[in-house]
Amino acid sequence: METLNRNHISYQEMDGLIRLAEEVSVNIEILKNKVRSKQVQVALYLASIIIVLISMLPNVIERNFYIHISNETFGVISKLLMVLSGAIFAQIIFTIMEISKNKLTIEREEKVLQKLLNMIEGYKDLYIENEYENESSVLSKALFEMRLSRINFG
Amino acid sequence: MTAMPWSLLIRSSFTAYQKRHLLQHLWKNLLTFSDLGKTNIVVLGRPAVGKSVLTSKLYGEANDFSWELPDTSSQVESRAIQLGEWTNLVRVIPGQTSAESDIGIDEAFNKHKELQGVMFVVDWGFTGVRDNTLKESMIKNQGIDTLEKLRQHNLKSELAYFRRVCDKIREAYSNGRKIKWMLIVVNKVDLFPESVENAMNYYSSNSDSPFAETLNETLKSIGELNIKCSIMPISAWQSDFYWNNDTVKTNLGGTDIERELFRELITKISEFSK
Repeated sequence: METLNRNHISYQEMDGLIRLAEEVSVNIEILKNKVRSKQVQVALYLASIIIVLISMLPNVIERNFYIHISNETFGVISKLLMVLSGAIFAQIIFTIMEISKNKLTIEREEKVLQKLLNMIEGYKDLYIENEYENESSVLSKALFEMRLSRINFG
Repeated sequence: MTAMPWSLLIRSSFTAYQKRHLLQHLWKNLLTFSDLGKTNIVVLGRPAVGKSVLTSKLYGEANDFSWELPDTSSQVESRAIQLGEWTNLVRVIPGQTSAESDIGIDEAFNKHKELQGVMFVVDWGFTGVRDNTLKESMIKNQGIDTLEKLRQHNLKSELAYFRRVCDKIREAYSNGRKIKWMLIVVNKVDLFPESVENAMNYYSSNSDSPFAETLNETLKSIGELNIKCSIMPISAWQSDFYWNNDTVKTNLGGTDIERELFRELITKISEFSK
């Protein structure tokens, strides 16, 4: 078997790669949670708009609050509710924009993570092979394995 | 009037018995879809040896014209595959160390007793490097500039991975889980048709290779009669192999041979699963 003339993969290089993967993975998880909570927010906003619109119906107000509303009062209330639903609608648009921005970031981060996934395993094999005879590296190899098994690459 | 439900019950039971394989297939598909099923067969191997392609071929989807070669798998893939009479839940574990692969291995080996077989996919060192930075680093900085050097490096890594798998099998046995069979699937034989015998010999328990040594140690520790073990050649996807300035052309000798190899693999799995 031919002997290889190689520049050893250092502990720092491996550590750097794994640290980056950990950071990216955590970042993706945070962004995904953000997206999920924003989606819930949008659902709640939509529900509140529907409630506002329903409450605008005069017979609903009369039935639920036992008050007779004159046409002028109803005009004022409906205008207020229109403004309120408009504000909520604007908030929905703003939240959706935030969601799509976060999704783009997730996509970009996932690409980085996929690249890291392909790189780390190869570098890890090289590192293990290089440090095979070095007893002190046993712990570092085990540490790398444990750190990698905590990273969510999916 | 009272005889009617009984005759209906008997008839429907008889029909259900006749269609038992279909019903079991549908049930397994449902379990796979809901990701609630327990693994019957686990497919393991280093990254880029062709585990996903092999499973897609066994599943039948790789024969579809719209099917595309998969990229690196980061998730555990589940498939309900009919191998012989019965359908098995096959799970492909990603080759990289990650949270997903750890959970997949733990589910297959430690969580239940449904695991029947282990398919360990190898490729006799013809593992491609998917990342260009790593490829460049291997060639320029690590001196792995020839195909032979790459093969030796890959065989070493494959052996290290196989040792870990053997540890898992031994651990499962010591916890009372009986894995019935282990199949070493030698993939990419289209790249070394003249050396298939050598490759089979390298992975065979009868040889004196380091791989055989590890295999024999495992078989001895769990009892050779407890687990059936075999080696099968296969070519899941025929394509040329490039490394630096070396090229290996795919040369299996036709799709008939590829199909024959797959037929033999399926026959072996169904024979083992009985």
